[in-house]
Amino acid sequence: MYIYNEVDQRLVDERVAQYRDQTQRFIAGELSEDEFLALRLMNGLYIQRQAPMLRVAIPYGLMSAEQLRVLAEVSRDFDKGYGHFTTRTNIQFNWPKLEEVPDILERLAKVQLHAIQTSGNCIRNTTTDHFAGIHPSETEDPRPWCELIRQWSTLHPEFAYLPRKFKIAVTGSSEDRAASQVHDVGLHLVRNAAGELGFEVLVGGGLGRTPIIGKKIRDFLPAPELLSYLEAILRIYNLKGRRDNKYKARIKILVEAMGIEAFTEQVERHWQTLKDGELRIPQQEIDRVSAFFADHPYREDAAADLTLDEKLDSNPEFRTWYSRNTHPHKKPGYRAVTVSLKPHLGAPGDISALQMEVVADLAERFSFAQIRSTHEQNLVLADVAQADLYEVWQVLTEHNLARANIGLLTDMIVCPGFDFCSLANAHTLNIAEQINRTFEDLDYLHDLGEIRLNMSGCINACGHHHVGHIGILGVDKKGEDWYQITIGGSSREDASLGKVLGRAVAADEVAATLERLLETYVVLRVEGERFIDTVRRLGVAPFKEAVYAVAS
Amino acid sequence: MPLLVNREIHSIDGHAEPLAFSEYLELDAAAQASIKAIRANGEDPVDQLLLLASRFEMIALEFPILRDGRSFSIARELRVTGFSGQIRAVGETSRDKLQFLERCGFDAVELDDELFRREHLEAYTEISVQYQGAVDQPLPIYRQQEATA
Repeated sequence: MYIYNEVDQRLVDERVAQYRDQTQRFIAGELSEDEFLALRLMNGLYIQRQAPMLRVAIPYGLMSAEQLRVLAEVSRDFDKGYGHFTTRTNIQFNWPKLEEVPDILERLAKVQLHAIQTSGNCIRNTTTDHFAGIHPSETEDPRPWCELIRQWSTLHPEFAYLPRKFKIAVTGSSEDRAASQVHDVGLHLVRNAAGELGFEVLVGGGLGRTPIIGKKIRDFLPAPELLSYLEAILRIYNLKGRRDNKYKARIKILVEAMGIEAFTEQVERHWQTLKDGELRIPQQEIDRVSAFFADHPYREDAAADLTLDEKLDSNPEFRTWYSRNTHPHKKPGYRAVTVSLKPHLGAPGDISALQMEVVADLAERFSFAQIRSTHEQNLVLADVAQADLYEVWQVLTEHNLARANIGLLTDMIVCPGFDFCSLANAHTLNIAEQINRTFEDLDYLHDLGEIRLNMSGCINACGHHHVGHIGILGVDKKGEDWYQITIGGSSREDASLGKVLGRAVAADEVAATLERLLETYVVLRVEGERFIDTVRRLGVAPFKEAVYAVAS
Repeated sequence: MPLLVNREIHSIDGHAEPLAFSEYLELDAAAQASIKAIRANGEDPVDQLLLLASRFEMIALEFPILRDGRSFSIARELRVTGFSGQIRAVGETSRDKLQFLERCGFDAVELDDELFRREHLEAYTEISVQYQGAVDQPLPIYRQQEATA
């Protein structure tokens, strides 16, 4: 992974000192609420329902075991002993004290972590495929490009006061595990006919109040021009994006209003003045950054191991976990392991300090001391030799991190909802629990197969409900929590937005409604057909009929 | 009201208020010829401003509200297209924007801040690392290293 040089470290250290000064000036009354708001947001600090909330950046979801240990330490020393992983692959602490945040940042800076631009109207943490660099089907590793974007976007003087936040996702495979089509900019690494590396560029995707799938602005951008092209897009957006209404300020609204052709024309015209200029990334720099993401020293004889098959044959629980929670690796004899942060009854994405240390420990022993966070709110140990899987499973099981539910209904993406967030209209954690209680039977879950369930506690859609195979949106009706259900969404390469199933249901009816929905699926599906595919084949109508017929 | 010019404190008092660019565009050629300073913001036609910029000695760019960052891009474009007069930040400016303002090509800042003190000039040197090329340092970090090597 990328390791800071002296310059990178200096920036983060100076940023901590700067923020300490800003905090002191705020406490001393020299900075207004409004002025401090913009400054603290650019450093990941929100004031939430219960307390401030600090969001720490995990750049493109990659962290070292040492970093995860420090996150555990911070959660213990400054918070209530746990953290929450987000769909931006960052980690949030829900109970820090405003005046202690500079101390937290100082502690984080010692291991090359920071909270820069994890909120506010600026360029946010770039996300990528959580199997980057290891997946057998990958064209090219996206992480060096993510790091180049990280540096370019960090404290960019021109783009700190954008109309609204700006999110970029990069993939290096035809499979999209980064929800790139619902980002302000989605970048797909591709090779052209001549074999040169470049990007297919999408723009104007997003969720929130107005969900839109991104549109292609360029088929092939030569890779060294990545930053000049991003700068052209950002400059047009900064100048032309709406400033009068924050709900219409994202780039997707601008692209819709101008039309993709006109927007493309403006970007391309401006880009002509930037390309082949200083922003072109020299090969030497691409090589320097890429070297940080070179292959680990894998064991050449890893696939010769015979113990895995023995364990799989003799232990059905291990076998189930292996089939659900481990994934193919490009190196024979290796697997990627998903650490499930979706236990039976627990807030999705939450992790205790002890669990963080357990995962850090496993990473050090079995996965080259690195951990990834996923936008689906789990962790990944990406490089585990097959001979070590059984021991990894045992340790994870002991610490409630091995629920064999990855990709299944209970592997839900869920925002913290009304319990923590001051934007939320409705609770989410109680609904997640209700779903967990109703769908406890693992055999039934496995029979239902791959289902992506996403839930948001308000229309801002932090839980990505529009792109869930099943989406649940919490709404407030006269002071009561109600839930609107959508089906047919996807954030993958076949991205689509879910369609509303019918009228919203009361809080205590959500799980029962899902039961009827899924019973209908079981009846309607053809052999081997996933839920999403049945919905796509038949449309919403048969599901709507079945679900609401029973209720009336 | 303090006016910073190239990081030095001056006073704004006694200077005439620059004419709004939209009003300037309404004038006939003879009247336009006498105007040497204008003020503009993100609502104005930026392409036209860039085209006419060389007529002015000073262009004041407004930050009408704290969150409006359009003038950062306008200043940058003015410098890139060769404007060498003064670019002055007016409106919702603050100590914590000083460094970004300078990096984008502003050489003057009007500070509507009664609490302004000399120590606030430290804002210019709080962050010494510049990943991106901008007006002050045209080279991005990867070319800075190349240049010093």
